[in-house]
Amino acid sequence: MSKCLMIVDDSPVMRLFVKRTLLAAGLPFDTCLEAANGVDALEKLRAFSLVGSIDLILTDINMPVMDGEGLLFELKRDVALATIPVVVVSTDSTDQRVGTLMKLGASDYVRKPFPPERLSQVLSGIFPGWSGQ
Amino acid sequence: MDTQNDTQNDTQNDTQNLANPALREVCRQAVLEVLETMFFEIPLDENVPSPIHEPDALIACARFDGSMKGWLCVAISHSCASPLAAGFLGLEEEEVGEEECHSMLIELTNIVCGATLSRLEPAGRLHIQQPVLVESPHTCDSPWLRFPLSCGSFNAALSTGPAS
Repeated sequence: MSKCLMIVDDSPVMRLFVKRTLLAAGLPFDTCLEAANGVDALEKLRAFSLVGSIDLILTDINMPVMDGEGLLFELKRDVALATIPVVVVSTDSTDQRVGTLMKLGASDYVRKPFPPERLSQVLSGIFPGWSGQ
Repeated sequence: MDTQNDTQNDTQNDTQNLANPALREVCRQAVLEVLETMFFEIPLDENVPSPIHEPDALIACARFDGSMKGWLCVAISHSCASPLAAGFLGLEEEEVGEEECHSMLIELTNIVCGATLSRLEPAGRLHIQQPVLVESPHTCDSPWLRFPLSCGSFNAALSTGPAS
């Protein structure tokens, strides 16, 4: 069962790392949109919604222009995008930050550094049938 | 951001660095976790802070502030840039260029800094600034913790102080 997803991170190498980790974890995807910040993500999500739907958003927190908190806030108040699960992938893992993100509606949190199994564990919890097998 | 002047000023104030055994152990654990889980490198572990002797090192520094402030710098041997970037990105070394190496080092520094701070201040509120590349290891005027790798070495330096 393949997915359409979006990776939001201002680091191109981190976006590539996440894509590679998904494939290494046996989590296939048909479409992978990429965005460098929250504003870029919202623009691309709204444009893509005319032709398809995104199943999952993986986002960093610390980004220029609009950070991960801002993106979560905007997503949850947009009726068309509010139900897309959002998993935060970030180095910023203080208790206060994680608590804020979960209150804003994040589905889960993956702290960097993480092994592929950690991402697989979180995403399998959201999509039990998502597997390459 | 004038990292060189800022880090030199830090050393003139009441700050802690990797000469402190507790801070060194926290940083050591963070570095080992990052290298093993995301770069698939298991370094030898010297755990002895010392001046850095890597004239050709690639270096990046991240400043942080919030409930504490300071900086963390990472220096890797030039010979380690391509192998580490290739391991991180799942590419062959021949596919990795200078841009990927620099981006990888910035991300590596960001992750090591985050992993260190989350151990030091799990309940704190901290902001890590985007790491920047610097030219000389002497910019980070502090003892370095060295981790020998098969390709060269990984080095980390840390300075922390109370929030201003």
